[in-house]
Amino acid sequence: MKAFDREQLERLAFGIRRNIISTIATNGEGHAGGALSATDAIAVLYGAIMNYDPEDPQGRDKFILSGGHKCLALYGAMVELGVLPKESLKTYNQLGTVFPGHPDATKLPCLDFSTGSLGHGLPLGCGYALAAKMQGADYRTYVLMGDGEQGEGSLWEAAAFAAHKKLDNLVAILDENSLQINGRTTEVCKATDFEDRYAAFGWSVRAVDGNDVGALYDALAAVPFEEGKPSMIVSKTTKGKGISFLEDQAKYHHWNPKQEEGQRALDELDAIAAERGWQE
Amino acid sequence: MKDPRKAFEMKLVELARKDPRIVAVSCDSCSGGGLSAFFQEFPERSIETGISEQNAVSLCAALARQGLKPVLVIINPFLTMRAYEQVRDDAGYMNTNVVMVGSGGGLAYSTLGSTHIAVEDVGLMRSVPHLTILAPGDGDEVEFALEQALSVDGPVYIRMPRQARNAPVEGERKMELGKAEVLAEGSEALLCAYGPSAEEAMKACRILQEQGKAITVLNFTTVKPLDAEAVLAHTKGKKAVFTLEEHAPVGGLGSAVAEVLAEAGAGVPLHRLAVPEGAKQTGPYPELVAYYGLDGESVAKQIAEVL
Repeated sequence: MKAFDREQLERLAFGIRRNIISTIATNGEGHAGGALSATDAIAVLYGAIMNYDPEDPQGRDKFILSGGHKCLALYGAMVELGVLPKESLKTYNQLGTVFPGHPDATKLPCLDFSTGSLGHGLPLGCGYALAAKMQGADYRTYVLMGDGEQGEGSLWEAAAFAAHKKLDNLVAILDENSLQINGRTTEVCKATDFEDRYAAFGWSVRAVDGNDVGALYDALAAVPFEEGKPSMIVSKTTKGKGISFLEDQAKYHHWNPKQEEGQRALDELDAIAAERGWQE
Repeated sequence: MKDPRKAFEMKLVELARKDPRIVAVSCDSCSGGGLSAFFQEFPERSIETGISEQNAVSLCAALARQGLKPVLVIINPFLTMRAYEQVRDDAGYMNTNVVMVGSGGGLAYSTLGSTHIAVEDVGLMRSVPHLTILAPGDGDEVEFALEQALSVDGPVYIRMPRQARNAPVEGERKMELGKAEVLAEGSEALLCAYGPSAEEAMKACRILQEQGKAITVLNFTTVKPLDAEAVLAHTKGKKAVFTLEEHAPVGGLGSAVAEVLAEAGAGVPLHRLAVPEGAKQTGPYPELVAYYGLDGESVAKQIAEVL
């Protein structure tokens, strides 16, 4: 784990956002909203918290992106970390690409597991965390889930298992951006009350501002919150975070920008870069 | 006559003594699924997930990625149907070394109704990428299947029988992964079977023998990859090909053999002896097998009618 450096982490998050937007603007489509809400958590994990070695898949800390549609944030992080060449993102969604619309770990060994179908991440995380306990390994397992995704029953099978097995080397981040494809999570089917729900299942829970790298770092640096319990960070975020006209709107879950819309988003990022002195 | 679950239970312990990577995973299926001896001898390598099949399959895939060799036992439909997507994605597409054992394949849970019989599993599992499918019938085949499953690189599904059975043939057996076992050779017809149906196929073969009709019987303990070479080699010169299985007509061995024959332009009639689609009669196991015409006597009759 690295010491906290706000400038470094905010710059990393910015770089990830720029990769997300430029990839979508170039390609013409992509899951923008959730990738942007989860960007700060992914930046803090890979930028400061995780013991990550792209060449050591078994020994490194594990990261499972349970909502695989947010993969542009993960791809963006790999590029910013220098694990993958920036140019390669231009192949996103093209025939033969290693960057499909959901992450495929058989094509990108720098990732830990393929995802895309919701509800697989926490069970997979339980497997990795349990393997570490059984094998005496000291890696930690992080799972990033969505709030709409909490409708999947398989997550709750795993939630009970993780608490029962006292998997305190397992950390879940619930990216609560309060929107899913069909609207507000409160209105679609009661995807709410996660602090209470996970606490009732036996997890140690904290809620943080999930678009603040400082709050995320403090929480992630403090795990396990309690010995013998899995840790849950309910990360309160804004869907589409970082691009003014995309923020907090369900319709940008998946975005097919017109050329001028894509340019407008890139212009907004350029303005931030100029203000912060983050030129490429 | 070896009880197949006992054979599985003892073989697993024997293999686990030699290989510390083997772990056993139960979905509240430890005693019924033949894991009790393992759980007793290797508590630190035993994982109970409770009744949570989807969680268990994904969990095993992650264990396998870390170099462990999970053997997961679940009542058949709850593995092959309820957790099918986890099997497809996390075991299949990810090509992880998970051994998935579906307890009570076919009509084994004959009295329990349509929720507990498994006559669509082979069709579903044949579609899973990288998956090897093993379908033993008697205790010896169960031991063979488990040992092979743990040596295969990639995911394996074992369709476990429940009822104790005699070996389909007496004496030394020649079982080989990926190869059909020739149980009998005769010139008039080819009968393909697997699992508990292999014994019924041999009963039929003997009845037909007494009537002066000689048939070839192939036993497909490995259902996938299918030994297509054996199917075609033994089809040559036959009047008809029959498949026999405790499975629906769609997707099982009958479908697999049909694909092989059609693609090779074999031009021989195929008769699929199977459990009719949507059938949900219940009753004692041997009676239910006979009700669907899948016992030796009924099979002999159906073959004789064609010949």
